[in-house]
Amino acid sequence: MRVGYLKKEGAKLINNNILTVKNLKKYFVTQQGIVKAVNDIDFSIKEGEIFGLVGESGSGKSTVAYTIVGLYKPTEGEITYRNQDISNESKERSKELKKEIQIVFQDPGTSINPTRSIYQILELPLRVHAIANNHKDRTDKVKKLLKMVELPENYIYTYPEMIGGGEKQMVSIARALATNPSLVLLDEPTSALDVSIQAKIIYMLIKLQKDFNLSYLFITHDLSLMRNVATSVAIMYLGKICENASSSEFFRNPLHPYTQMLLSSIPVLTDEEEKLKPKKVKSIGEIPSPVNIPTGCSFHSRCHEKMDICSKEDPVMVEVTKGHFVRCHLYKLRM
Amino acid sequence: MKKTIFSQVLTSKKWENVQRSWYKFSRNRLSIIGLIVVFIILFLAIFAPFITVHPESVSKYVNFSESKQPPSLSYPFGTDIYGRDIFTRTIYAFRISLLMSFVVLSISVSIGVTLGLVAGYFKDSWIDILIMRITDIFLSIPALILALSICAILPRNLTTTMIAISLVWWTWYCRMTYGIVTSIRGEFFIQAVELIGAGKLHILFKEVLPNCLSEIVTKVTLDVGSVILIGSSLSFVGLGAQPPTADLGSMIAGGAKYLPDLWWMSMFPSIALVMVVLGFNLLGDGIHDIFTVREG
Amino acid sequence: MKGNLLEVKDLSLYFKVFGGTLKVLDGVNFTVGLKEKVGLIGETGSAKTTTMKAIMKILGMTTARISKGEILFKGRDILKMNEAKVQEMRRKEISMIFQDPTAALNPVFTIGSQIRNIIKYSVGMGKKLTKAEIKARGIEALRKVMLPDPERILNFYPIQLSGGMRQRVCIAMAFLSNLNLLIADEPGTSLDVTIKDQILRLLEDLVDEKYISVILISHALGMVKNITDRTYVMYAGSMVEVAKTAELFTNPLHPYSQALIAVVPKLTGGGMSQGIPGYIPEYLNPPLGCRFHPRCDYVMPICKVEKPTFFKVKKSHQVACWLFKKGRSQIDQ
Repeated sequence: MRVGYLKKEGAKLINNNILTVKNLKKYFVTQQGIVKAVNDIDFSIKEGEIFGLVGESGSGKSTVAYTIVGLYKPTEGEITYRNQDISNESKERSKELKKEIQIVFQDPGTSINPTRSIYQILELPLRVHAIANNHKDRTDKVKKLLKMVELPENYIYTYPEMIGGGEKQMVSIARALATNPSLVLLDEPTSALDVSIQAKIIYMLIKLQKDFNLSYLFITHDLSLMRNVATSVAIMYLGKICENASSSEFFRNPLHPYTQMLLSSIPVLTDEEEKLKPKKVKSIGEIPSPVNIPTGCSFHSRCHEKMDICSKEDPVMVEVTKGHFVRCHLYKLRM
Repeated sequence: MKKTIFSQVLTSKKWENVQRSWYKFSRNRLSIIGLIVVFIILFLAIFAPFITVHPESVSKYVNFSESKQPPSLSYPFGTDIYGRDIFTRTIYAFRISLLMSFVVLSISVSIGVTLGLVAGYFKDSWIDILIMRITDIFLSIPALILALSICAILPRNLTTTMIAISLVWWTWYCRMTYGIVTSIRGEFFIQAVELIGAGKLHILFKEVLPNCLSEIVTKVTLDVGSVILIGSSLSFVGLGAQPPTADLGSMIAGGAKYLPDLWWMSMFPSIALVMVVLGFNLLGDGIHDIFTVREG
Repeated sequence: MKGNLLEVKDLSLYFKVFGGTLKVLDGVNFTVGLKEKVGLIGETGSAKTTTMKAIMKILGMTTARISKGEILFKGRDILKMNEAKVQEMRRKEISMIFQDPTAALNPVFTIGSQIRNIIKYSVGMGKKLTKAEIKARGIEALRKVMLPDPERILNFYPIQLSGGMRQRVCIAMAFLSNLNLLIADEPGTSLDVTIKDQILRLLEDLVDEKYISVILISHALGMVKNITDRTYVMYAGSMVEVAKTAELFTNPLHPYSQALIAVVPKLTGGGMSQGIPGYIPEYLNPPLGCRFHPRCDYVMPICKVEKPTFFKVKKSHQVACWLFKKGRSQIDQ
């Protein structure tokens, strides 16, 4: 049985990577054509780190998370969790695996069933995975979960419509942590929430990560948030990763033109932040639809450093400095 | 001990919900009228033996000396050609109507909703195609004609009529449930529960079904009136409840021949029929209001 | 014209609901000058949108009641105007852009027909415009918002456009009339960062070109900082601070303003703050006195009893906080 590999005390991880994604592709066939949502990406997440995935709409970042958790089956490529190949759909995965990898969705309003009470929502994973086997144990564990996310105990009797968006999201997070997972995928967990509630939730997520030594895949479009959360950051554009580096390196020395464009466009509040931003790159043009990806480098139609080769050939990922990867002809030539 | 405390707090929150629902319901005067009418009809139907003075009128009884009497104190709705008290027969007819709705809707809802749930959840699989094509076949035949055909084959009595109407009625619930299920099938909260590993039975009946309940309940309330109408239409042509059982449709049919002289024979059952259907319709509107979230 | 374009004076508004009344707006004071860009920041539930809807008189008037106050637009009280005059105002003088452009456009009509309608009923009222003229104006409007190939877009349905393009169509529609006041309610929320950037620059250009005032509502503080001249901070139904934008962000005085600015993640790093303790009050039973007092680090006895009015700290910097009575300009430790 594969169970042994999955237990946390089990097999030693290669390079300390809990998750490795290689040549991952996910295509969707639609009426308009083939949508190449995820188009050949590689990255790894080390155990205990917060890996950030940044991108705008059409970048494919959510699709990456959904494929990892098993909502989709990869079109091509490999996903390895704790040295074990998991490139399959959720229904083909073992229950053990389902316990280990959990996801928190973006919209708190539709992530939890409005017709179920908070108690019912939180006890479901406990029941399915036989974590607590009678009503009393389950109630205790549910109360513990609520306490963990700083929600009052009597919320077990309430329904989603009676609580606010931030609290709903905390219930989603509690539900994800109910099975004691190792890897948690967070798909824009605070995008739909106000700044003060966002702060509360992110603070709590970071605390929980430290307490339980969790690994996170943290997806957001908010670069300022990413700066304070992630240890490594990768930026995606139309299904490919453009740049991948440690968080400090990524923000201090952004190399890819898209990264520069994005960083220079974000509105900031203080002058120190303003100084930190790269020189203003005016964003031009529309984001192409993923059905109609431009030839060559997918970014060339909006790139301020475009060269001839960019519309013809797709660049490959190169390691410019240790741990800092970029996929751009500018750097390939210099190597 | 713990269970009672649990249920106490739960009740208090539930009581608040009941109050809120009443508030939404009562904003519309017509819904209240509907509720009152339905209560009156239910009351009359349940306590029929205590209200009516001529209980023999619903059995094989003839009294030609009292026949064709216009409305009077002893016979508030008059008598029919057999001398039976129409008031008594009308009240007892309510019983038949309500019984018919209850049986038909119980069967239709059970079958229709379950099939709709399964077909919608397994959308695009063979189960979906099979169930929905059968539903389409049934839906393409007008309800009354289908009911008539079935009644023509089976022996003529109330039970077979109810079965016939149920065979027609389940399709609407199947379609409606199918529509709701396919639209929430892809929602995050269903995906989340699937990812946790919950069993299909749990997902269908505990996660998906509660989201369909509001529409189902509303439709059931509105359907009571429609079922009664179809039942009356069928008994109008001689199917359904057989004589001497009192039934609104057959009473209206029987009295139609004697218009306009013995007008009371059709008039009062007709008014009664209108009241029942209207009452349930207005009530159904009010129930729909409870489930509608208005901007605020 | 002298004076302010828009003046909201001591506006109080409540909704009648199950369980009582929601005392939402509680003495709102708000002014917009000519050719001025005013920002309004505050979180969800602070009633910013309600205030704007009251100005546009598009609140559901069955449950909303205005208990006191006035809204003066160009000197006339909107609340006292009859429906015809209000409609005229909406057509020609005030326009609003909403958060979700998809919801603001009718999905079953083409962009062209929606623009046609607007032209016919705003600018075209009283003049006889030919079909060609209307079409020309429509194309011109779309070109102004930098939509590529405007002729083709006129025939598109909203669903065929991306989010950014839909928002630009909404902006084009808002600018069709010679408006004086533009209200933009969270105009960038559903858009990507780079597109949001483009749209805001576009808005700035369009506004500078004409003699227009703007009210920019957002909970994204960064966006407000870059565009506006003056900013209000709103909390739980009333304004708590107002200052020139640069001044507000470098020197926020109200404890809520300070907390709000501190809570935004900074590009310079430094970790996440824990958020603001407590919750937004429910309007059914709002706290007495200053509505922020249950969450305030500097709460004093008077805060629980009496609601502070605006105290002037500097020229054009006012705070509604008892700490600043008698003209203190800093919070004493």
